[in-house]
Amino acid sequence: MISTVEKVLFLKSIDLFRTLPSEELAQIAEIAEEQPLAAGDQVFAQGETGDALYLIVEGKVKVHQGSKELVRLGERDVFGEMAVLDSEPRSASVTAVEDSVLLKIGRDDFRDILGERPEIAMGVMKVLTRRLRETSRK
Amino acid sequence: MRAAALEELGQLRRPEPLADMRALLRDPVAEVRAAALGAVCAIEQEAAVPTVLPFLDVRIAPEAVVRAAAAVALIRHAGIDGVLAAAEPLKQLLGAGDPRDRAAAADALGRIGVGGFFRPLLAFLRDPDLIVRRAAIAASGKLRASELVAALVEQFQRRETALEAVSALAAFGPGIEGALEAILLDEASQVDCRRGVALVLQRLATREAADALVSALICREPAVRKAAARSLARLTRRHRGVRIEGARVERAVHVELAGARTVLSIFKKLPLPAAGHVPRTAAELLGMALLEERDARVLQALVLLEVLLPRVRVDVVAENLRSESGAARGNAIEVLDNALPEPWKREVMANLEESKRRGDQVVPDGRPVAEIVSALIGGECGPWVAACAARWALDGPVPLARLLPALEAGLHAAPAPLREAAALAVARAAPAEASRLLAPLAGDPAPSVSRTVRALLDRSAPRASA
Repeated sequence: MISTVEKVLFLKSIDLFRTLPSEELAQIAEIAEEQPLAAGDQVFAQGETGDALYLIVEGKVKVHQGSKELVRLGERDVFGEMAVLDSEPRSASVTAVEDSVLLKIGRDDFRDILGERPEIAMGVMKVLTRRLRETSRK
Repeated sequence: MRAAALEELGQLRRPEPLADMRALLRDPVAEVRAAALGAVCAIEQEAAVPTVLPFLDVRIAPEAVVRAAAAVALIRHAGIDGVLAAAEPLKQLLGAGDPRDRAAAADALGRIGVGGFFRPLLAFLRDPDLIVRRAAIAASGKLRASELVAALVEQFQRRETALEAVSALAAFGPGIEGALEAILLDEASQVDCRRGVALVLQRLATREAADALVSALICREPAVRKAAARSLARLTRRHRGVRIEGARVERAVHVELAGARTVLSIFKKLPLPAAGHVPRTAAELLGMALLEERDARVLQALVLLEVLLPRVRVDVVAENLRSESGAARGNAIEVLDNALPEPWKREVMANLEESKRRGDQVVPDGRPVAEIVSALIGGECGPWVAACAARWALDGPVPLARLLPALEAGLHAAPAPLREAAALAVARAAPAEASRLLAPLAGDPAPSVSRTVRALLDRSAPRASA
């Protein structure tokens, strides 16, 4: 079981949250739900409505469309992050390839926090802006 | 557009387009019919009663918005006959089961605008249905009855109504500052309510509102102090003529900088490794939390210095102080160095560890480490630092037994991360007593706390029976 302080330590190592003060991350940590997975467990399926973002604490998952593997993600990778901002269907499925532990942050909880704490929303916007700039440069 | 035009014509009381306005009483859009009722009645006054009366009937006007508009038109424009005719249908709307009817009734009370009609709005402000609460908030801003202030402040607890409540309370105008100040300074009031009140005071922008905000600058709750400082800074920036009691703001700046100094001196005393930007251990996280707390207090002081020194714009600089980029932070320090006058510059720079004068530099806290950690868990440097300190205590920087009184108190503190960290540390510090001490937290409202405590109790149960 991961305590709130440990979750903050973990979130601080994730690009999306790195620049947020740790006290603000504590609020996100409180809504981040630990989700253990066995190898072969599906996190979500292609076409489902996105309702959460996931952070890999331990283990590995594969992102795939049917039997075609698109990418393999490991510790500290994030997936499904756009789903907290829109509700588009998932473009691919995600399945654990080994025993893994994820942190799941539900869209509604996350949006509540963004609404209540503009400084957190500002932090997320800064990260998205930075990513956009980096994409434009490439 | 038709509805807006009708409202405008009704206010002008121009009889020329009356025939066209009457035609719109049959418009397919309910809002247009509602506006037409108000406009026709405003122009024809008592003579409009036979025209408007049928629209009180649900069979003629199934839409609540039309019936409510008919009632408002009769009460406002049609004399005693109108009031008598509208009273019963309006009462029916007030007590209706359909939320759309209740929302229309709330809107009607706002349009009627009689302050004495506040009681139904008090009930509507606590209605389970959001559309009713929203209509009641808007209506309260029109009624401006002082009895509604507290119920409007309650709306700040819910994100979906908070901004509307700010607008409604701001619409009251001057005269409610005293009631708002009492809530702002009440440490027992809900933090979101107090933060919302600070925004309203900013919008009121009176001398009394500014005084209330200044009074909150030294209150206990950091989030309220922050909200009050930001509201005061915006108020003074946008309304240069409002007089501020500078001496009290200066005192608040000194308090914040002294707080920053305390935090920094504790950081210097504790054996905490430098974290960089990504802490990997509880010790590094505590170090980071302390420095973030120091920065927060310096930033608060800078916001207040903007109030005292309107020509000094430090908001962008302040933002860069937290930058990961060394160059951006260095630039911010340089700008501050040039912009701040003495004695503020010396104090701020010392807290940022940018002082070259030996006498200004912050020295390590003189207390023993165990005493400092106990004080931190007790909240000396804020709730988040307290949680980090309780978690760090688990790693054994000082014997846990010496921290037990502070940890036990932490079990009952308001911040959930502190309760959780204290529970983990108490289970380690006093395993024989863990069940007794932790059992009350098994049903804690915060899932993070209740889950952790239940796991700890499960773990300690076999040992207890053995």
